[in-house]
Amino acid sequence: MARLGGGKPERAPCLGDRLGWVSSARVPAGWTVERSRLRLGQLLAEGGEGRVYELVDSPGGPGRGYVYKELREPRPLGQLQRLVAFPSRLAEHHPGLAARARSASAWPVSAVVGDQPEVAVGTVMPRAPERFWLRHRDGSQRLATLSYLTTAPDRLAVAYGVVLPEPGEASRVAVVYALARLLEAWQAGHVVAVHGDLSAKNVLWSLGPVPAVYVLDCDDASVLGCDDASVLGREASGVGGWEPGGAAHAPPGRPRATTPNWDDPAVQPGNRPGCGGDRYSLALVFLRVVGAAHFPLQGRQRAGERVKVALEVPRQWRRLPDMPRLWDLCERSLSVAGASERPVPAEWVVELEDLLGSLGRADLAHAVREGQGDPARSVPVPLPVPASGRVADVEVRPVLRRRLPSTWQLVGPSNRSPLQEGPGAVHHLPARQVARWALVAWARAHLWAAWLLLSPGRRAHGLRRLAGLVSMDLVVACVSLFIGAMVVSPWIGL
Amino acid sequence: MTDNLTQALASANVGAEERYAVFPFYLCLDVSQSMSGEPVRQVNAELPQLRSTIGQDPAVAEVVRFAVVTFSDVARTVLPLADLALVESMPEVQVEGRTSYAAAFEHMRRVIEDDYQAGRAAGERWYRPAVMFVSDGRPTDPEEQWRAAHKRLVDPSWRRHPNILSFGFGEAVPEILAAVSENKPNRAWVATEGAAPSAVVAELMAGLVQSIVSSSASAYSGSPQLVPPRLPNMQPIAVDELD
Repeated sequence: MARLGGGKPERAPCLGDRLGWVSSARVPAGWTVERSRLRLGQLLAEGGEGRVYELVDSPGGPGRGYVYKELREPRPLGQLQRLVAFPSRLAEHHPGLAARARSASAWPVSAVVGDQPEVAVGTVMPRAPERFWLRHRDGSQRLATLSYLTTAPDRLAVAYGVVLPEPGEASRVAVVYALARLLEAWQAGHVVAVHGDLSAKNVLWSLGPVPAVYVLDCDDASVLGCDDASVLGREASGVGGWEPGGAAHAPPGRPRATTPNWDDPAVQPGNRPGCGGDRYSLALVFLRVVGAAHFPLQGRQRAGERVKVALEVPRQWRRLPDMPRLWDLCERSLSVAGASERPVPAEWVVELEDLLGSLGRADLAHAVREGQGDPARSVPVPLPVPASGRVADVEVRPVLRRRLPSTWQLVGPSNRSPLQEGPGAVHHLPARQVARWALVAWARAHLWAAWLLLSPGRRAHGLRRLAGLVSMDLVVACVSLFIGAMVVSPWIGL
Repeated sequence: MTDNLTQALASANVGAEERYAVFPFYLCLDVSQSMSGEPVRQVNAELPQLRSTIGQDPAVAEVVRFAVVTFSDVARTVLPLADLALVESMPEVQVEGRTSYAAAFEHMRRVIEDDYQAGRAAGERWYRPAVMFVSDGRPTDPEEQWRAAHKRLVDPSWRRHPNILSFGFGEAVPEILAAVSENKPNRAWVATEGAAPSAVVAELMAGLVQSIVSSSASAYSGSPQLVPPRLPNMQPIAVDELD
């Protein structure tokens, strides 16, 4: 049986391990596992490409924390081995990128063979960590797919009791930032991976403890640009070479199942998406996640129409500096006419870091980097100056969000609160919020009075203000003492 | 950044408010006496499952609207057309009297028109609605009566006329079910003779879920199709958007 390696694939330690995001279960012993060594648990999902089973611990085989996908159509072993080897090959020159790729995707860890040694009948993949699941109000657990972030948060709060950040909030930007960094890892090294179907159901997200993404369905990804074609056999890969410019599609191979409404309109039916397809998806994810809406573009783009996108942004974005590079990045990434020149993910990484900084949440960018096990900032890529007067086939412009009352309500009898906390929820209790505001106002008033007192020529004004505040403090203290005494006295027998 | 924002406000764009058109599904269910026992129990067991599968998936629920209409001597809407994500519990259907197809068709036409008008008022765009007609018997009202009501429901001059898929078992008559589906090919299905009604209902409800999920996916693609349950000879039906 042909094996690429028998050792345990190395894995750079990352914050994820310390936080327990990744199962501590045994990593499969090698890149190829015999089907007979797997102990299957329950059937988790069934689709057009195969069945997915959970794995239970077995001697010498992969165990809990992994799933087994049984392929309906077996593939050449070399093709899957090439896929499995991708993170390790990436780690040879770019350990940081490899750490990102491993932490943020269910990348296959083993090809599984049956009776025929050169034919893969399935793959072993990590199971989505606990933090990428959401709990609905009715107790059901669901994978936290991007579908949740691409629809109105008030509808989801009413429907499922899951509270999500408002459109344009920094945590949404941070989720896209995490995806951009994963794509950078896939596309910036000496070997390149193309997912080809970065759709709502394949990209999971989490906001806590730090924003993160986790990409599924990687067993049908392509590995391009490998320089070892002579060793593994180019035909075995099922994919061809890589065009550094980021071709919209890879050379024809086994068709890639794509998702309607998330596919790249520049890719002709029957062609496998290439790097350009994933770059298109990244821009689409940015629009849909940050804008919490669908922005249906592809139908118009396929019809050859020029598309103008109005991305609703929260009112606090008014305070931000102009961001022509960001909108230019969206336009170039979504362009069909310029599909072969779509910007590399590294451009997105730099721009989204800037955006998070402008939003006052550079800490989120740092947390994302830590969470992906690669805390170093990306090497800035030279960003092109937006061309003035360029006629793009896509135009993206920000629009101030209009605050409308929620139109959603539950149908049927309800005896529960519509707002219950979900695992990914960002939710502040009103009482705590009010207390925080009061504390901040109290501190500011005193600081202002002290500053006046220390300012030459305004000391009298400061003294009067401070005297007033001290009087008020005394009254509040007396009232509080009285109320406290009333509450406590029965308990101490007075 | 304020100037940019103001300029953008003035132009027509693809914006956040641009939603996908919704795909209305009506389950039109026979609850005559012959459905008593296991069949109706099976329906009541499967409806919450349907709500869970469709309603708990935000992507499917967003484009699908679902209603349950029952008919016997009279027809009634037991679940008004709704986003299943916002439906807390499904109704229990109950067995009633005879099998008036006329009542079913008249009610369906009225309900579809009312729902459409309400949806339009709320800013919704609609794909042509689908009616899943399920019966286990022959109509008990005079033929000319139910045929007249059916003619009004499928009248091409009425722009909201639905696509009807019919499913029968028990005493259902294949020719009548084919007529309910306007004698269009591959739109009516009858269970094999002797098939247990409870098993048929279970299979039908599972097929309905699969049909709705597949149809919703096609709605996102911009080429919407009514994808029937995986039954022999069923073919996807292209669906247009209503004016």
